[in-house]
Amino acid sequence: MKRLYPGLGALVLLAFFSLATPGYAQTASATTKPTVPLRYDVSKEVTLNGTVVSVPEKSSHGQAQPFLVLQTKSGLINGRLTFFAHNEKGGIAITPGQQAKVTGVIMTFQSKQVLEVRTLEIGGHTYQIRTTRGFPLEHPERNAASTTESKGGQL
Amino acid sequence: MNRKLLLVILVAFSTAYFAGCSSNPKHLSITITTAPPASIAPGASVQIAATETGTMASIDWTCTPGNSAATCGSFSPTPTTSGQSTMYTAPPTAVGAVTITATSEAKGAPSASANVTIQANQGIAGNFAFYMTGLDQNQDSYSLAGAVLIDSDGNLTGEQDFNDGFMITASDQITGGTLSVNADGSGTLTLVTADASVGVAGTETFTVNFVNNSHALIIESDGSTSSGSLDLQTLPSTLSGGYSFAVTGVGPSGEGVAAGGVFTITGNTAAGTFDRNDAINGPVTNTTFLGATLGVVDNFGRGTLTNGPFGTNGVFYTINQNAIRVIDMDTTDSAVGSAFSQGTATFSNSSLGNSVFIDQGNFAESFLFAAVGQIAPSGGNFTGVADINEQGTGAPDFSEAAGIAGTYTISIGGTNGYGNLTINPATLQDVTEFGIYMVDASININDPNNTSGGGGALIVDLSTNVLGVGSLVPQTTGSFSGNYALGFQDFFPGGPPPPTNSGEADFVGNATAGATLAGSGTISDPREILNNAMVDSVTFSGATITADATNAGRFTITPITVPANQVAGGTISYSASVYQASSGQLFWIEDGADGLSSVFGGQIQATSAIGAAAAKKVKKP
Repeated sequence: MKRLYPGLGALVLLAFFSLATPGYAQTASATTKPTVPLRYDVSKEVTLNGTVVSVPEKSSHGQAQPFLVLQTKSGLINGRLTFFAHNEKGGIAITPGQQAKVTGVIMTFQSKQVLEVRTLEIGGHTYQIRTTRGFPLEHPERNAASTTESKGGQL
Repeated sequence: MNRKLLLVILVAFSTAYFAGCSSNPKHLSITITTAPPASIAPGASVQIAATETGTMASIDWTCTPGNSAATCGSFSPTPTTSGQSTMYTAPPTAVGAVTITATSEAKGAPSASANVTIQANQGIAGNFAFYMTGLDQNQDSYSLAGAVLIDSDGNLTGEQDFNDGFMITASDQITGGTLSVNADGSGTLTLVTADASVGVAGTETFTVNFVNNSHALIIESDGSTSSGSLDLQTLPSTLSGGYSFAVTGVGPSGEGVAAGGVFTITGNTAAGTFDRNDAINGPVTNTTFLGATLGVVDNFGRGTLTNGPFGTNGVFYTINQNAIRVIDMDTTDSAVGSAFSQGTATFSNSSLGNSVFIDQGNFAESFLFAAVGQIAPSGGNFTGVADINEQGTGAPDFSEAAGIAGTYTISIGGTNGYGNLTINPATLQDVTEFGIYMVDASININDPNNTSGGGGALIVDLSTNVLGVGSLVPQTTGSFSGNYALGFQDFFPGGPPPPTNSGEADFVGNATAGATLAGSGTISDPREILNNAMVDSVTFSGATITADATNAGRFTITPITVPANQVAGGTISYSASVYQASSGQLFWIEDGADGLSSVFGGQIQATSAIGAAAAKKVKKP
């Protein structure tokens, strides 16, 4: 495990606590920020095993940001799923206490460090929720058995 | 002369004189002094009056054709006295032209007439095609296209094709429904089908805002939400020659897809070249196809294009011979878009003049983004300025009035208008590459029946990190003032920060632009991102319009404040960047500076006859 994500434990702990605090407001100084955002780099993927601590929250009117919190050997990790992974229809059933394996890339999201999840193995299924380019996929259940990305190109 | 005799003679003359007047038509007249408006809705009532001179006789009111309440209307009271009003009530159906006549009961008196047209929906009727793309309440992307025949009373029938590429791929008859249009162009369209999987138990509800009598911006507003267009059809129309196209949707794995290109229709076959950018494979360009087959076009202008550029089972709806809406009806993927004639012109780099573009991804396609800008091309190079709002995997990013430059080629290896445009990296966030598919210079891409504002190209974003579709429209000078129809498709990634929910909300409405923007409209918000309601009626005023002193044709509008009880403070104040193709056609995006992580892109189109009435109803800020 250490070979896969050296020093990740401290990072994910930091990410968890920083996500738990408010302060998402964008500052005025950002209005001219010209930097190119970080993008999903499949070569930097890590794979983590853990126990589901909490599932994506639902607000009183629907879906909030879909963060999956896992307890790993190195600590807590915030896995960012997709809009579609948590859909009422075609989404993924996740309950606290389940064992899960996630593959993704540590990235910055709204100034916080998160694991951008590409695949999620849970409940005997492996769901592909993002492409190797980091783009979300609708209907993760459709891709539950998929281990390759060869379905495109039919349009 | 005896004084008494003289008096008798004078009285006799006077009596004879006035008696002669009352019986001499040359001394009588009648005028309709309170006339009806040029048109009124079926069943509506208005006050009218006529005034006589030379007589105080009663005035009778009649109408044609038929002189009955059912055929031309009724009057209460009738007769009237001179100057007295009568209430005219139009017949209950849209009978069209009616003549109202006021006739004096005086012997030999003349009559006066006024014409009025009895019409529903401001006279909007006929065959219309529609298309749209959006999200249902479960965040499933869907494509929808269809056509309806709307009668003069607003009743309709038609057919449609719906596809989410996941669970529902349906071709449905529209067995009923109504169109209702207000004087300001706003209105509601309902479509009734027997397919319980679409709309609410088979009935779909849309909010529209007519730009003119042949074109409306349209959103679905019934628990699903999407944006598109409703356009008058000319049927039958035969498709032939070169066309360019662009579609957006989702592929078999639920990946976002955008595709576009050019093709030629010869008889009942089509062949061409296209580009595709999807979230799995990335951009793939210059793919050719042969042997696509056109099926028979039905009475609603619906036809099939099998094994073509928009799906194995492609369907199109004809607007006219120059424009069609297209939808991919494969069961495992979904897309919708347009194709426009390229006419008989040949295209070269000189075909692209100063232009304005809009480029937007859909909810599933990639990172949420919308970009808008203007370019000045010259000999294969261009410079310009653009704005982008991109909510990427990394921190949200946006650029305002960013200088851009790059190269372009129209008609790669030929003259067919299949080209591309490359933006120098790191100048417009992740947007770096467009496929360009030129259209005939006479065709208005965003209002196909409009005889002005034509030319330009459909575009597909072929960048590595984003994908989307849009258009590139010739830019001319003009003002940004008057009455406009507005629409946008707004995507929310989900908070924090609030609003918490993710999904799509769509807006359509109208406004008056001057120093400020003030107007009203409807937001379709099935996931209740903004408010505790799936449909919100909103008004706004006092949004300052500022022309960019450095970049003519660029404007900013801020703040456009609408209620949003899901956000601290109870409102969202959008700031928008606007680029002007002409005084009648503009594109806008949310500029991203509000920190709410949402992204909208859409159109601003000047309204004509219907919109002129709207101006009177809008309160000045």
